[in-house]
Amino acid sequence: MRKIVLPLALLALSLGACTRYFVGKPVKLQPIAISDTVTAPSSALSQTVDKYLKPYHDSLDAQMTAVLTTSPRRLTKGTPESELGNLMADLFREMGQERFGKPIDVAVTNNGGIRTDLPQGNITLGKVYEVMPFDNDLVVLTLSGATMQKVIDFLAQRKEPQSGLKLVVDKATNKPKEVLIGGKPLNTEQTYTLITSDYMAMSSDLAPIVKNNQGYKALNYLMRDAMADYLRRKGKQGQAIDPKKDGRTTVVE
Amino acid sequence: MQRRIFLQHIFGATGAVALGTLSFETWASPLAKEVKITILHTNDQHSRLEPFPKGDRMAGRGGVVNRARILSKIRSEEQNVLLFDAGDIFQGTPYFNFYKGRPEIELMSQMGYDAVTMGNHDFDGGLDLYVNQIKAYAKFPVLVANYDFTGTSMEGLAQPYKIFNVQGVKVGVFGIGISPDGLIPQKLFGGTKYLDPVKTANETAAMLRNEKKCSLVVCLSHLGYKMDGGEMSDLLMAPQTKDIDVIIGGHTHTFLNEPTILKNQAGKSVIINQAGWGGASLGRLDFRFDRVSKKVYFESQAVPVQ
Repeated sequence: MRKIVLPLALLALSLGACTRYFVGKPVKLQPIAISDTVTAPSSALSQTVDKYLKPYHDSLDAQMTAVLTTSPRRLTKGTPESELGNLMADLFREMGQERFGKPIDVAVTNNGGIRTDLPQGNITLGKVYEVMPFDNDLVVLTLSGATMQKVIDFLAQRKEPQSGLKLVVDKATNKPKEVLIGGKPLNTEQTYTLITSDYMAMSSDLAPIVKNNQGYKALNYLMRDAMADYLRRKGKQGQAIDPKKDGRTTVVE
Repeated sequence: MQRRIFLQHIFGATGAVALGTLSFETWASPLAKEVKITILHTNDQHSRLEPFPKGDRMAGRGGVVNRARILSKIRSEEQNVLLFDAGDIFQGTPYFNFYKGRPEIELMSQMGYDAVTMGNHDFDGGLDLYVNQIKAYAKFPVLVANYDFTGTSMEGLAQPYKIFNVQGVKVGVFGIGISPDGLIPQKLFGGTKYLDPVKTANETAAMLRNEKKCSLVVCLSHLGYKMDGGEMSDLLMAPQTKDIDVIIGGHTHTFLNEPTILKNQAGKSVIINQAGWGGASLGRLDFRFDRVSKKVYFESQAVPVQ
């Protein structure tokens, strides 16, 4: 059976080839040799590249391993509030205010954007890059009281890190039970300012809520730079960081 | 009978894969029995000059020193090597934050890149920063056909295409950039005008094929292999083209073990390839233009860089 089919197949192939293509002689398919690249030896080029890269690497290494400040213990993120989350939200508000030139009522960031813990002891710039690897900018939004109420509803639901609010969340409904903003009850007749990341403002589940804003100001200040600047300043002032869980976001029955 | 060269993917399951109508007359050397062209490519390097760090899923992969070793080895074995990048050279490690793209561009010049296209992240420091680094340190052209840079600092620097004459075989290469909508802030895009990618690609490819008589038409694309939101992508574009033979893609960080081959409007094959990201892989496509069989054979390899 095979002996019959094979010549027929060859005939069909060769006929096809003759009528459709200009084929001088039968084509023998040979795989093109592929080089074994895993074991490629060092070369003049790779040495040039290595030599070029080294001063950049060394300089970067020196800067990334420079100690900004110290932490008395490992700081982690978590809900409904955490030492690391509180530190981040507070510092974004503090550093953002300096750039914005006016007080900012509330800061909101997201636990998802805090990528790792801060270790006990020395905090280096490299560690800051690990915590905040993304190039997110700080933005300040001006919101009506009604929109700020929706932001608070969002926070009660998500329990993202925040600064500026005292928020008591009902455990059963995940809705705010008590809210103080700057120590006062929310006034729906006035406007408030909110600092957050461009990611949160533009692309997260918060985005549809704050889309209805009365002002959007990009600070052109990376969250990571704000964090590094804050920690560096603490270090220069001889202060270790010591963030606390202060009950700003609590969940009650 | 019209003379044709057909492309055959040796390990492909479908046998002969036709690739365009190519004329032998474009060969300068009548004595050469065959011309072999090796195309190597990267995409989405994202400033990853060193290998991926410990603890990363791709720990130990990539790094410019490793890439340089591999490039040297392939160049010592192959006569005609072209090296391309499909965009997003910038952004992703502190190298970019600290040195603003200079080492990336200078190292690519050292490694002998032949052409690159632009990715959305290449605008991250603003168009002017990219222009300054390219002007100062690039020994390769930036190819983008569908960004109109008129009136920007990029005007006159980027070019839509470049033709490489490899032992008489003309290889036409052009670039296609992604839509800036939602990806590149207007202030960074810097007055650049975005042109329809498919229309521009077809016009450019037709010109390279018909007027410039290119035997191989290569598109460096930063559209993405496949987009979740249904935006234009390499997989969507290829069937809408007529004269593109190869799409070297980027943006979606797609690792392909072998290229995807789709049919274009004329029923001819389009080879789509992408090499992951971060320099972890080097894409390799070998084309053998055979005078005897009058066919073009090709083979591919995703070369791990480590």
